[in-house]
Amino acid sequence: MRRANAVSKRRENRKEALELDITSLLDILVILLVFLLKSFNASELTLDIVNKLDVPPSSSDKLGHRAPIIQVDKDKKVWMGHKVIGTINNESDTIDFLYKELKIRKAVDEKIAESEKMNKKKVAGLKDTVNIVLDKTLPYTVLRQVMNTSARAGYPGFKFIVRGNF
Amino acid sequence: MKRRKMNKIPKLNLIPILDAVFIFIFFLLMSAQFVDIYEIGTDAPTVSEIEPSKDKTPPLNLTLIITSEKITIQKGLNQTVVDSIKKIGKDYDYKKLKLSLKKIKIHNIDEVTIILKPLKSISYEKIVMIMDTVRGVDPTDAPIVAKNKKGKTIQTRDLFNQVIFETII
Repeated sequence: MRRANAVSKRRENRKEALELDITSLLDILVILLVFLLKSFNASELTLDIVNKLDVPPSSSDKLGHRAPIIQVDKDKKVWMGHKVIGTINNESDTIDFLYKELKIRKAVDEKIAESEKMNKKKVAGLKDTVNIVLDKTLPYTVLRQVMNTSARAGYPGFKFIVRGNF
Repeated sequence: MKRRKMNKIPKLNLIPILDAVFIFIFFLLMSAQFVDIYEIGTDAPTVSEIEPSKDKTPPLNLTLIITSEKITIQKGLNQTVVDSIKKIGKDYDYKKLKLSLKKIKIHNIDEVTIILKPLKSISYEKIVMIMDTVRGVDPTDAPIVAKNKKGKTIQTRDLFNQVIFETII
């Protein structure tokens, strides 16, 4: 009888579910959470900085806004979105390929703004403003060319994108 | 046997909190930016058709002429030279520039605009540093307190935060 009881108890013990110790996993998750919360940025601007582009440091603490992004790298290649639209190889006041691209963008923006007005929605982002991301080593000539072209294409407001932690 | 059962500490069910933390992590991972990105605003100079103001005091017209050797501060319609800040080593003397601008700001507390006139060869990094200098006082410095034209006492930490580049268009 005793022997039979012992066998049945042993079987019951075997059936008990295996319990995982998740304490260490929880520790890691909490650390990750703190790290991610620290790097959280409430800015509505999302930016993928291209290669060969070193953004200048600044003491500014103003968060970025959604607007067309113009990036110019060390080699004076001009990027809009995720594609190269041309290379600046002269010192003329206006950059033709950038002007054309901005004009197309302006037409699209105006159409969106019109439809948003018709639907009584709030117009997203800043109108007539471009975000300029320039490599810190580039001379003022390039900045002037970009600003001149943008202003002529209907974007007279400029936001210089800079790196924090100065 | 009963006493042994009573002494067992009840285990917390951590699964719901773990689920929530996982979802939170994915949300934060999606919105994380590992480079702190900020902006500095500026505008193209515009021509507007506004009636001239009745105030007959001449405009400040504060201008910085930036060359590779020095920064010259000019003001007024005649572009009178107020100060000239030379380089110390490879960099401009930003402290001296800020001090000069503070003196001008005390006498023109309502003024917020400054015009930058850099040479073509000046690097973008230097321009950003000059813009940082002219926009406001350091966080460790005391704010500027002065009376405006109407006799009202104004306290501000801003110097000339509306930066305009000359000769863009």
